[in-house]
This record gives sequence, C-alpha cells and structure tokens, in this order.
Amino acid sequence: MITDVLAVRDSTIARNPALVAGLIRGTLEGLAFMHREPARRLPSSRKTLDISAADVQAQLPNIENPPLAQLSDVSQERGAAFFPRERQGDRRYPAAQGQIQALPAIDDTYDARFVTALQANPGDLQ
Amino acid sequence: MQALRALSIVVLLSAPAGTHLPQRRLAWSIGSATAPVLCGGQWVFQEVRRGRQAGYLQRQLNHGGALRGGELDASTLTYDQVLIADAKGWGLKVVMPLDYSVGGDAILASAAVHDIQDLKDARLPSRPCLRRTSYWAMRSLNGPVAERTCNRSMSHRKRLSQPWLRAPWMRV
Repeated sequence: MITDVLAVRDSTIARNPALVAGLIRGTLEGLAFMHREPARRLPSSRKTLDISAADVQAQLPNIENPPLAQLSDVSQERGAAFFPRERQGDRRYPAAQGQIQALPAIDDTYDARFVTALQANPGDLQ
Repeated sequence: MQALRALSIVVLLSAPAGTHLPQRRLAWSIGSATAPVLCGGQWVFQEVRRGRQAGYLQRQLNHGGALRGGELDASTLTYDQVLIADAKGWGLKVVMPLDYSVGGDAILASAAVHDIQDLKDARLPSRPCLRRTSYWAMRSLNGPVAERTCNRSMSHRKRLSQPWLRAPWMRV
C-alpha cells in the first residue's frame, strides 16, 4: 500500500504557517467540491489531466481520501488510519533496503497541528 | 493513482501552470503528473503536458531532491520517501495525508502466462534498486534472492555501469 502525503520543509512551516493551513483547507474544500458537484469539476479535470470524460468518471470512484476526522491519526500508536498493520510494509521498506540505518517514528515525521486545529475549528469547511 | 490524487487538487489550483514564473523554478517529477509545489513563495499547480508544450519546463527535477536542495518548499511525496528524508536529516514534515492506494504497477508477461503459478521456475528480471511494489512482489516469490539484490550498496552511477546488475535474472 502507498500513502501519499503533503510534505513541507521545516523552514517553510516556521516562516509561513498560515500558508500551510490554507493549503490544507483548500485541498479539503476542493475534494468536497469534486464529490458534491461532479458536473462542474469534470471540465477542469479533463483539461488538466488530458483524459476523456469517461476516464474521469471511471477513475474518480477509486480515489480514497481520508475524512478530516482521520487526518491526524497516522501513527500506529494513535490508531493507525494510515499505517495499519497490513501497511507496515511501507515503513519497513527503506530500512530493509539498507537505505537508512534506523526507521524514524511516524510521530516524528508528522506535524499534526494544522489538521488538529482544523478539526477543532472546521469553520465553514464543507 | 498518482493522477487520481491530483484530481483532488485540480479544483484549488486551477490557475495557469506557472506561466508567470521563472523557468528555473518549474519542476515536475515522473510518476506524479500533477502536484502542487511551492516555488519562490508561490503555490503552483504544475501540469506536465501543458507546461512542456509551452516550453516552460526546461528540466526535470525529482521532488525529493528539489526539496532537499531548497528549490521547492513543499510537495507531495509517498510516506516512505518522507521516512528516508527524515532519517537523512532533510528537514521535512508531513502536514497532511492525502490518500493511499495499491499503486498501479503490474506484471507484464507473454500470452503463455495465465496465472501466477505459471511463473514457477521462470526467470524474472528486476532492477537492482527495487521499488516498493516490485520489492514485495519479489520477496513473496523468492525473498532471499530479492533481499540480497536490494541490499547492494552501490552508487547510482556505479550501478548503471554494471550491466549484470541492470537486469539480474532471478529464479522463482
């Protein structure tokens, strides 16, 4: 299993945290828009990805994005929405390949304060 | 699935693909046709086809490498890439999980192969630096052989200079 994430440089987070928060909110709103109004998002999806409308319609149901409530829940210790037992291969892989000496803890690689703040105050997030 | 992930971002970043940005700031990566990147303090929706047609894309940049070098401030990555980057002290943090998938890799075989069992006693080629999917596939078929191949510590340049490593034949 492959987990795709949005990763930001530490210096960027320190310099402009509002930008990071805005991107996360915008992404969630964009996702909601796609599912809420498929007819309106179809033209932009076709144009951007250069695929047919039929392909867009066929592939969209395969998108699996976590809901806001699960976004801060990435570590095995905290519930493992993104690294449940069957997906631990993703974590072991780099060490098994000898690319790194020791595997970092997931909690050390995830800055959850942005999604935690959004969960506490979703505001007008649709 | 990489393209599907990008669908989630199309709506928010539907502005022209960096048409007003300096060429040296544009980047894209193979395997991620579309992704948001922060270039020069500005979020850009990079879109390979249109960017190439317009001549804006002068070169290819690996997202991870560009992040490490400071040319990009943020990007989409897979979590295993983040783990490696963190272990090497790149100074990245995940701020949001986007999705997960089973990937799009596949086994291509001749018409004579109808089932995974037909691969018994066959010889399979694989790159020396196996990516995740092929690594686990090979491991499930014949773990020790795959693992020995994966653990070779050679530079990329040296690997390319070793023809026997470019296509090692592995007995299943």
